[in-house]
Amino acid sequence: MRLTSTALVTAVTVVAGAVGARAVAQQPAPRQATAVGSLTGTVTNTTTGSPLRAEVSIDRPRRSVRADSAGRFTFRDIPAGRVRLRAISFGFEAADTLVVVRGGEIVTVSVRLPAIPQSLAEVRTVAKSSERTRFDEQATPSVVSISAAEVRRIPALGESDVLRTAALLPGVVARNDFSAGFNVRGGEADQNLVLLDGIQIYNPFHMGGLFGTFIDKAVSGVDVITGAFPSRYGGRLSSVLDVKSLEETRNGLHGTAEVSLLSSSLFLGGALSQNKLSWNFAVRRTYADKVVEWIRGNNDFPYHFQDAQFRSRLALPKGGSLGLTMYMGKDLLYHQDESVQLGSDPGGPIDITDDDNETITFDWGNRVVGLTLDQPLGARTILSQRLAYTRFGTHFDLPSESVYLAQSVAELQLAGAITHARHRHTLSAGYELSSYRTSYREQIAIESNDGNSDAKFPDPLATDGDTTMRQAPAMAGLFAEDLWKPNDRWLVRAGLRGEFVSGANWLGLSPRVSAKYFITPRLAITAAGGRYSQWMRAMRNEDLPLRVFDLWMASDSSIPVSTSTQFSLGAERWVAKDRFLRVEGYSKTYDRLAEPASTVDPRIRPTLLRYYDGRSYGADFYLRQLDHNGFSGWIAYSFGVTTRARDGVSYWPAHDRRHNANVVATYAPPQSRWALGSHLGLASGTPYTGWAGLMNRYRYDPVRNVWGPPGSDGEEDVRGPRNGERFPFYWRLDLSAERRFEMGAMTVKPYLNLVNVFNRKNVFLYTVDTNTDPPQVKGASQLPFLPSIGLRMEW
Amino acid sequence: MVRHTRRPLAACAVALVAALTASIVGCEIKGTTAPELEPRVVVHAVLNPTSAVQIVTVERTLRSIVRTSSEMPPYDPIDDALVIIYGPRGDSVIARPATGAGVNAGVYRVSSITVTDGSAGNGQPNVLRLRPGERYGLRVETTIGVATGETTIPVGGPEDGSRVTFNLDRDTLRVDTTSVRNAAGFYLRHEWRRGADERYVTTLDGALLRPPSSAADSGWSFSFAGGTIYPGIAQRFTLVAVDSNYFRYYVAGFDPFGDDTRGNTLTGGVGLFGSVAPIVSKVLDLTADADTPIEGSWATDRTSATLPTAIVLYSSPYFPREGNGRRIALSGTGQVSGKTVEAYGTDEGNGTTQLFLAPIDQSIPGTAATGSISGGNLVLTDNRTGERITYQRR
Repeated sequence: MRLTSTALVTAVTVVAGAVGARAVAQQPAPRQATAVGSLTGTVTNTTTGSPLRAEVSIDRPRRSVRADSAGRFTFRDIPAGRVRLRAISFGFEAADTLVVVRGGEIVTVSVRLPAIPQSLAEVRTVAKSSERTRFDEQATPSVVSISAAEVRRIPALGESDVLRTAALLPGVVARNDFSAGFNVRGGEADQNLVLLDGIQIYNPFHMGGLFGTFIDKAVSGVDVITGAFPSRYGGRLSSVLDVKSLEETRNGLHGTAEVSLLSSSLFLGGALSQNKLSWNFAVRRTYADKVVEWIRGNNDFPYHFQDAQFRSRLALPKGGSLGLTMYMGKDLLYHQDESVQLGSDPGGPIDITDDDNETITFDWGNRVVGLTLDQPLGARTILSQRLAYTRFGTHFDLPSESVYLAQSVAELQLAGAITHARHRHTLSAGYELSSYRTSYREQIAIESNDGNSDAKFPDPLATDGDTTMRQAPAMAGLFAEDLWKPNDRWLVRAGLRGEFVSGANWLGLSPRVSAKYFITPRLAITAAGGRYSQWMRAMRNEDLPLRVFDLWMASDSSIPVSTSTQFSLGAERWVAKDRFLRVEGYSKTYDRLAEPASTVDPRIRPTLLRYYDGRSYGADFYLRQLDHNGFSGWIAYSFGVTTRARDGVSYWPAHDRRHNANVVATYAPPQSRWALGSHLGLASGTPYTGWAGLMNRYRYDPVRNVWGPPGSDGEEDVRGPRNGERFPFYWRLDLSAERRFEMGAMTVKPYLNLVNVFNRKNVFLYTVDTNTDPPQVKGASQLPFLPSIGLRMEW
Repeated sequence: MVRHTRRPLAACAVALVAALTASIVGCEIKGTTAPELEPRVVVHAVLNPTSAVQIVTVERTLRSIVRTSSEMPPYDPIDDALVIIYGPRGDSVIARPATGAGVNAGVYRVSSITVTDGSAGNGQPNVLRLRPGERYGLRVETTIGVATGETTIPVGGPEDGSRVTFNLDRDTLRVDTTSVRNAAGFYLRHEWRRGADERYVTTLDGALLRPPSSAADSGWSFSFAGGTIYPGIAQRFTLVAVDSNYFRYYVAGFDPFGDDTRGNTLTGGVGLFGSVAPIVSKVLDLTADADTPIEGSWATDRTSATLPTAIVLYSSPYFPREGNGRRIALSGTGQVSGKTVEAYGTDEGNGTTQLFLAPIDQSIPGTAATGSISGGNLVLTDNRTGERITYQRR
């Protein structure tokens, strides 16, 4: 809202009540004259008499204090003499006065400030978008915001997915249709800091990376920072994905229920006591397993996931708020051998001792809980404190193969920050204290299947019940940042972050700087650079097309902290009030990244991990149309080159996608009951390791030094150069349509999603059948044409 | 017959979920003929200080495993390669193509001696000096590429090859591993006339063989073969230290979505260049205490075409006593018509013993017999002919 004042009435009234005399009456006269005295008083609204939390300053010595909620202020140990006192409060005229302070005495002053009267002309309310606000007031580049409403209009697999939508943004690359995970500007998938209301989520996906963890109805929006993120964020190298929970502000009970071919979800929320308390709760469960079981009569699809998300906010006095966020999600792949008798608990996994069964249990899930306090300290300062706990765990159990794997990572964090706006500076400082726990257990028993004996002789090395690896590091971090606006043309953000990681005994300083120069009020150039570090990593094979089993490990004495140095330079032009174009180039280097060796065997521990460096550079193009009479969308194009190097050998990582473009368009005019959505994705192929033939394996007798004949130990596929091949060009068109019906107090919205309208067979992976001559290469495609329908009900 | 167990791959989970996902939503893309591939060099070599000849095989990768001949497996040898093995002291030798009847193409050999005293080692030129604990390089030059590799020969200490009598109820076979170095793992093999079991481990228990504290006791290195350690029958026990390349090729788990060929440690090619150091390879004449009535030495004056004239029987301490706790496994040897037979059987503890007498000369059929103790004597009955012989304890 833009305010125009036509006249200002200035009136400053300062009353120094009972100066000196009152003070003398209240305080006994000292036996000896001293050189210092005290100055106290109140600041009030001239018109109403209400106290003002004004900023009060004196010139001798130079001090300033903020009056409390009662308008009171005090200065002590002031040298006797004349002191100039100034009181400032937003919306009021400032007041200056001279006060005489006598040694050993307390001087009391009463300051009354008149409000600045405003004459409002006709007011046209033009809501300023968050993007435009960020353009005008922030120096952080590479930020994209998406609202939940936009997420819901984009065609989706089943139901809306915040993370899949994020993968359509510039600089963000999705590996394939099956993975909701993403790589940002050439970084690995675990280099993205995913936050829910400021609380970290380690694996924000459901099993395989097929779906994101967030229930879209419980999300208000997401900010994605694809590079050069400010110093308040640490622990990751590539990006920040900051998801904000929805806070219901409507009184009464409101909700949304949704049923789709994939899952059902329910959202409930409301506000109480004039919005002093708001809450919302959402649950979701897939039921494809139940549908298949009902149709086919057997458990051919033994997988489901369920999650729940809760958010509550309590308004505190003086503008503060206390927020509570909770999330719980679980995936379960459970297949039970039909020959096994049910135990006493038919609803859950069963302890099977018959090693002929094929029962498998594979679960995966996040648990998050966090409490956040935001408290303004006056008109220009805000204090935030957060206490949060987050945990990710997964376990795999295959009794028939005597394999049991379990992994978990947990973090308890206490963090806080204070932000103060002063003149042309916005100063921030904060801290983070984190305590981590990682645990990896492996139990694999080797059995001797001697036909002459029924006895089983487990491998003496089997670590029955023993934890293979456990870590308990801690991290302490501090940051300070200044957003400085020296004039109307410049915005400069300078920050410094310091972190110490125990276990690794690592201390790092990460400067982060960005500067924006406004060529015109609508055209700005932004340059940014910074250093980033990461000590919690998911040791997964990044070449794997699906996320199956993540092993989170912390840096320690043998695993170094990874670091990255990044630079970006870009320009942003607002061509209309609701349309802008952004072009940004970047360059990133990575040091001491880690991945598991392809020989995955904890018995050869020293080779469990291998380290590599990397580099990525490229440019992102982003044309964004904000809502304009119901039409919105964007065109995002990214050019990127990513390389990795180990032992002097350079290769393309599996997420190196040279060209990636997404065109998103949604149309939902206010006067229409229809909402249409479309997405066209085009991308060049990602690398994969090709097949280079077969080789004979040989059996060797070390006692007699005799080799068996060719193939005596079988045959082995020979891999080509790592990621030396590329999948073909990818493209896919998705469409969606939604119709709104009003049924009393309820709004019903049936919708239709069409994924891959043209049934384009984009390659997911190749396999080689070597049982024919010549061998045949076959491919498995990504998502085929998938129509899905659903129904959403809101009240 | 050799059985060995492989460590199951955790990547079965990978395959499971990938298959599950693909089966749900993926479609198969029509197959096409695989493009012609540039073949790569495949090399296999293991340096073994106990052998006077070191062998290197060189071949090309294959395009398919469809056999073109019913006699030979698919195999594309390279017989014109230059095979060089580099020693730790700047020395090098060239392996020559092996010749002779029954030798396949693509096999190269070089003579070797083992030097453990730090000397230059006596020997003809182009004889490889193998020094346990030292690092060796391999270079194979072919028209399709050059493959290289490196290995450090483990130090296993002096090899114990003595043959001794070993009482399973009382004796312990230990190995001194303090002098073992550069071993990524150990290969254990238990051989008996009718088969063998082998296992790879990364560490050794204090004892290779010892009397078990219980049937479930597995705290000794050869416990994996407990079910086939038969007292009364000579068996060979082998322990070999292997280097990391060897271990990685034959043992280590592998990610099928990894970036390299399983077990490969070569550069420019694929295969194995590893080394081993045998530590123990000894035959033990296994005995046990005669602590049940049927155990011991028995003899008869009668001759028979199928039943022995003398037989020695022991019960195995490694066989878990099931059921009522009285069932025991019996084993031993005997003489039938001047030929040695091996005896295997069980005693149910109810007075009846079932034995199978297996001639070492496997062209002769074996005999199933039922035994019992009567009046302090062993009575065996041929299950097929009904012939009955009484044996006195010898």
